[in-house]
Amino acid sequence: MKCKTVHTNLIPYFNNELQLAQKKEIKKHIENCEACNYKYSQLEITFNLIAKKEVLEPDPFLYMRINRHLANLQNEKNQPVYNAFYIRALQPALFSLVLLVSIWGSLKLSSISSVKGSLLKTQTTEFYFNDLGHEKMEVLLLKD
Amino acid sequence: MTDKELIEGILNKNQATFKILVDKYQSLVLNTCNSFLHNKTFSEDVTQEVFIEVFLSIHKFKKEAKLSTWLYRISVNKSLNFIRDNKKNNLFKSIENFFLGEGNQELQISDNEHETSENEAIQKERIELLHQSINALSKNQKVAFTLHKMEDLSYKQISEVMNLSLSSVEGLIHRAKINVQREILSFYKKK
Repeated sequence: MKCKTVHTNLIPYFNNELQLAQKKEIKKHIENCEACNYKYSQLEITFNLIAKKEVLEPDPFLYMRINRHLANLQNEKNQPVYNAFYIRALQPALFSLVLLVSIWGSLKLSSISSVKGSLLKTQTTEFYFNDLGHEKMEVLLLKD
Repeated sequence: MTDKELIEGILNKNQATFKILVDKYQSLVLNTCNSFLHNKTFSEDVTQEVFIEVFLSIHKFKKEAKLSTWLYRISVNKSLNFIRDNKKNNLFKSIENFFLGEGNQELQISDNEHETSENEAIQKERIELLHQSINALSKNQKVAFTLHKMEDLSYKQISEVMNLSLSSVEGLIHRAKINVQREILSFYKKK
């Protein structure tokens, strides 16, 4: 029997699903072929590890941890609902309001500065002529 | 205390009864979770989640059903959810490690492995291979196979936990067994 044929029948052989004659042939081949013997033994050892299951010891503090968690859940439930409402609805609304106010404020400021600018312009262009020096003292005294 | 009395007690919000239920079924839940997760810390975390779920949804429990079957079902679902979420986290971690270049940690681990004896390393490799082969199974095959081979549940009990017919469970376990064996064999063929 060839190694390739043994390989295809290795799983049915392992599960005892072959007919007696075929089973004998494969057994003989496995005993004489090192490579097939290695594969078969590794399959047998690895698959049988399922039976050797690790058993965990119970945790003595488990109930305490569950109780604490349940108490936390209860506390979360008891918290006012509006907290969540604030976070989900009011926060973005407040943010948009602040944004609008800042836009409105900046527009207003720019308009004020433009008015102020025009005033300064008039102040600079307007010429105040001091004609005091040209008037005679006598004329000044005569006015009142 | 019978299961019926335990359920009645929890429905009446009796903390002492709930403690009795936790003590009675902790081992069953913990070991079922460990059969899927293969990690003590993860299994303890999921066990905690299972009992919280039990406490919160005990009113949904059908009184004619068996309490252990219900516990197995919750344990299996929670464990599978944990594996699913963990896969996502591992993917993010591996991306993070790739960008941060954390290759040195792996080197340290492989150095430690040299210190352990060769036999232990081989045994560890076999267990790892077995777990990988089981994890590669489809969801239903994995659940049926694990409950049968690791928890020693009968086909009838598995059919109750999974809400499937006996013949379906039989088929699932048979196909799972062949797939696990194929996976093991293909690993040693490559070697």
